[in-house]
Formats: sequence, structure tokens, C-alpha cells
Amino acid sequence: MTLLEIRNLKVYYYTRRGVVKAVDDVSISLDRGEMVGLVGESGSGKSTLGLSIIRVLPHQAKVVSGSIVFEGIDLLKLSEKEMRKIRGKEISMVFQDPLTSLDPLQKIGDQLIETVLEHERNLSRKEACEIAKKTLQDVGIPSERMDNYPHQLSGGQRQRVMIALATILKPKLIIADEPTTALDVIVQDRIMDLLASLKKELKVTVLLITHDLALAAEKSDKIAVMYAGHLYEYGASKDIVSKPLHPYTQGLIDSIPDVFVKKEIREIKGHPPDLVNPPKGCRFHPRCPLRMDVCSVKEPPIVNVDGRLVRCWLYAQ
Amino acid sequence: MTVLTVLNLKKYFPLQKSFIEQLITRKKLTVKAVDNISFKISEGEVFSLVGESGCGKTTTGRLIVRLEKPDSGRIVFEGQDITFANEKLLRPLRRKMQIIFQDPYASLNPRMTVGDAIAEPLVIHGIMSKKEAKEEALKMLESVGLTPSVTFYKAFPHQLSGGQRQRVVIARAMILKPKFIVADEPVSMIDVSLRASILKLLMKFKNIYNLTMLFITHDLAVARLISNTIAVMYLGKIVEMAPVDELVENPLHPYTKALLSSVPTIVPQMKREKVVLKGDVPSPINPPSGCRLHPRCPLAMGKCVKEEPQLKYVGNGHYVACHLV
Repeated sequence: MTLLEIRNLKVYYYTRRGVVKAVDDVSISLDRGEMVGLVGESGSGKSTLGLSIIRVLPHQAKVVSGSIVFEGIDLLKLSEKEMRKIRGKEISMVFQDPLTSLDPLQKIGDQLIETVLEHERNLSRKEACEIAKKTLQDVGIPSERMDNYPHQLSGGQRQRVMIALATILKPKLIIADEPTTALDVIVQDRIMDLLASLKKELKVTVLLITHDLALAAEKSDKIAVMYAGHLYEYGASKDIVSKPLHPYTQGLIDSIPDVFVKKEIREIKGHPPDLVNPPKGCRFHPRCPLRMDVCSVKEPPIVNVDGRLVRCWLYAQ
Repeated sequence: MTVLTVLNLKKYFPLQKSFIEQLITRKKLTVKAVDNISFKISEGEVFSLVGESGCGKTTTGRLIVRLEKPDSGRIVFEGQDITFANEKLLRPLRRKMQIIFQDPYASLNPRMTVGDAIAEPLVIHGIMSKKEAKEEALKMLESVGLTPSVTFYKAFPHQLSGGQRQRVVIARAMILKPKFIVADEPVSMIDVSLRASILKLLMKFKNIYNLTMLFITHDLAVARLISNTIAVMYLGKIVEMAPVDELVENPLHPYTKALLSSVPTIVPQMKREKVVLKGDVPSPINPPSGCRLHPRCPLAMGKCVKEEPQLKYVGNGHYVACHLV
């Protein structure tokens, strides 16, 4: 069942250099209770897409067109006041760096309690405190830690607190933007396991934004690949990894080393394009080993190949 | 032929005590960054040090090129003991050993053109005149793929992307035709699709000049790709060391197993049973007694608390420091 449906979303940044088409005509839908890995390099628009769902875009950015329908409501049509009720309560976010997203001057317990009281006005502080303790335990932090300040915790523990904050109101969608990028592998693996178990228990949908294709492949049900503001491929993780359809996805897989596979790596030639002035037609065509004449002229349509969405002329009629 | 021998190397960093601590205690606090490690690197070998942040891998690299002074132990480079060599003795050696840092934004002078930065080492070491050095730098720009080299010569670092800067850093390290390179996380700040090209560039130079390399990384996948031998570090110690395939296919130390079972992979079916360590990495100021992993190890025994395991040879070039083996 669909929880979130994004249609033809365009988000542009208005900078002094010109208009940066960060997210350009992206359509994607997320089902309830699944984890979707949104994969791309820096500048691919993956974070902008995440921020536009929860409507916390920086001031230079504007949603130009499109719709973001969450449980039947177009979030883009809501007033800021109505959006505040959804943010945190229905959709929450986990950022990469917990140190900058937690209040350094407030005990972590108080931050959790405040979040509860903000949305559940009829609860007493004592009840909110109980919920906070329970949520901390669920993310693997003993409730004695309620009185600690963020700096007294390790990086992994802080990210657990972030996840507690993001799950305390039992949201239906969690957007996790590079939640483990700042962490070491062992801690990363534990945080991902925690997200996976919360996903299962709370039946929450998780949008995992990451640059790490292997991480997305291993942990999420589906993978969406973004490049230069476009969504180029979307389908089940194991299909994407075992049989990528888009040449960019193929290129990404060939370019990353893997600890369990002995292989040669091949780089993707060239650089990602400047999004003020993106290439005409398919944005990947200047780097694509399989480009055809049509690729530099017309934008490819999105085609459904055995349940997988791919935006490439190789598969279009 | 052995190019580098490291024997019982130690580096403890003293900690600044607060005013009150100075009054109440005489005890010196130190961070045991590198604690008694030994290894050898042969000619043409890529030797990787892997481990989590704070395990001492970067300090080891800095000690070897003598950017830090060791507390004790021995560093022998091409038969010459450089453990406590002074600057004057180190100068000629610096031509032969170079270091590539992680952050290409911090390792280039922002006011110097890229070309001058690459040519400078040649002039400093008195190998060539400025004019000859410029020619050489242009050639080097070509071979690291920054073409047209004349344009790139005049560029300033801020005009280049992260990947291009790292190419400049590599060019500057390679211009002296060193024998030995320490590469400290050279690709961890580079975007995924460009990492492959930087790694391939390093491999190219390695093959052309028969370079010997100490490769420092937290990324086991990169280590698997590039190295001949991997040493796994934990809290200042080497816990396991083996040829790359042997280490990945037959890990023996619980810490190595935990690392390998945590690395994301596109072939999850290749993963062995998961080894879960308890808690977080303890502080290196006061590391646990005995085996440093024992408070976290799922297989810890009484012996592990009291006695420190030594690196033991178990065949196939494989060394492990664990009482279970």
C-alpha cells in the first residue's frame, strides 16, 4: 500500500550563478513498512528530495512544481501551521551529524520530553518522561542517560538518541539522511540493525538517503538511484545489484570495490554535470558508454521493465 | 627485499591535565596511540593498516615518515635506522618516502598554483633548476590525467574539484620518484564514482615505479582491492595480519570477524556468521588489561583479562594475537 507518492517534483535553487535544477521531474512512491535506499553522489539531489518531503528546504530553494502526497494529503498544499503537526509526528528525520542536530545545552531526556509534549498537549510531563525512557531503552540506551548532555555520549549513542527522537511519536515515515556516514563500520552496522528492527516493530517506512550503494543494497528493500537531479532507476535491491539496467547504475556497481568480491574496478569517465546548465537529453549521456544519438537530444522517458522503473533510451521504444 | 621494518614501535601522547588534576595527582595521563607494533613491508608490496577511528593507524603512518617522533622501538628504512634520526639526516630520505594525506582541501597551499606546488619539491631538494622543474611538473600533470597540463599548471587549488586536487597531491608526491609512499585515507573524501579513478592512478604509479606502499584506510573493501597484506589495528595494537585473501576468507581474530561482518557488501550471501561486539571502543587513555578487546569480545576467557596475547604465526603468512588460536 502506498504511503507516499511524489509526482513530477521539481526543486530548484536560486543562486547567484543561476538556477540549479537539484531535483528535476522526479516521481517515486514508497509503500508502507518498506525501507527504500535513495542512492546518489553528492549533488545528485538526494538530500534535497528528502528535505522537500518534510518541507525544511533552505531559503534559496523552491519547489517549482509537482506534488508530494502523503496518506492522501498533498504536503505542498499545507500551510506551515498544518505542516508542523505532520513534521515529527507523522514524518520525522534523522540527519548525518547528531552533534549539530541535538541541542548541546539541553539534557537528552528533556529534548525527548519536549518533543512529546509539543505534539501531545494533553499528556503530563510525568507521562511524557515515561515515554521518553521507554523510547531510549528501545534504541539501546539505558534510561539513566536521560540526564546526560549530548557531549557526554559517543557518536553512536548520539545517533541512537537522534533515532529515539525520530521515533518517539511513532511516525509513519522516517527520512534518514546519511545516518551512519560519520560512524565507524561496526557502529554503522548496529545503527542500521536498529533502524531495521524499528521498521519491523513500528511498521514504519524508512527512506534511507546514502552515497553507499553497498549499504543500501544490503539493508533496504528497494533502491532508487539518482543522478544529476533525475531518478534513473528504481526497483528491488537485489535485482538492481544483480542485474542493473541503467548504465549509470552499472557504472556505480563496477566502480566500487567490495570486500567479498575479487574484482577489477572501472571508473565512470568524466565528472557529474553542472546543474545550472545540465546536458541536454539524458543527463548521463556525456559519461555513458552506451549512448546513442537520441540520448543527447531528448530526455528519456520512464519505462517499466518487469516491475522496475528505468529512465533510459535503451529500454524505451 | 625488505624496504621497511618496524619493530616494537611505541608512541604515547601526553594529555593536558586540568589545573585541579595537576594539584591532586602526580600521575601522567597518556593516550597510547601506538603500542608496541611490529611489521615488515617488502619491496613492491602494498601493506594496509585498517581499523576504526582512534586505533592508531594514522599515527603509525606519521611515525614512519617521521612527522612524529617515536617514544621507543625501531624504524628501519632501506637498512638505515631512522627511529630517532634528526632533520638533517632525514632530509635526503624524504626524497624517497612521501606521504599523501586524506584531505586534498587542506594539503595544498591555497596561494600557490598547482603547477608550482608540484614543481617545488624538485627545487627544494636541489634536483633541478626552476625551469627544468616546470617541464617536469607539466609532464607529471599529464600522467595524473590533468590535461591540458598548461592550463592546470596555472590553476589554483580552489578552482579544482576534490578529485582533481587529490590528483595534484599524488603528482606532488610522485614527482621525486619516491620508493615508498604512505597513503593515509587517500580516497575517503572523494565522491564514489571518482574513487575508482584515484585508486587506479595509485596502482598505475605503483606498477610503473615498483612502489612500496603503506596504505591506511578504514574501508576494508578498498583494502581488499589495493593491498597485498592487511594488518588490522585495535586500540594501538596489531591484532591480526595476513595476506589479503587469507585475511578476508579466513579471519581468526574476533575483532577482524566483527569488522568483516559489519562491512556493507553487495553480496550479503557471502557474509559469515555475525560477530557482535559489546559496547563501544574504550578510551585509549586507560585501555583494558590483558587483551584490549576482552570487555567487548563474545569469546573472552579468564586468561584474556590477565594476559596480553602476542602475535603468533599460524601459517600461510597469517599472524594473530588471540588466546583462542
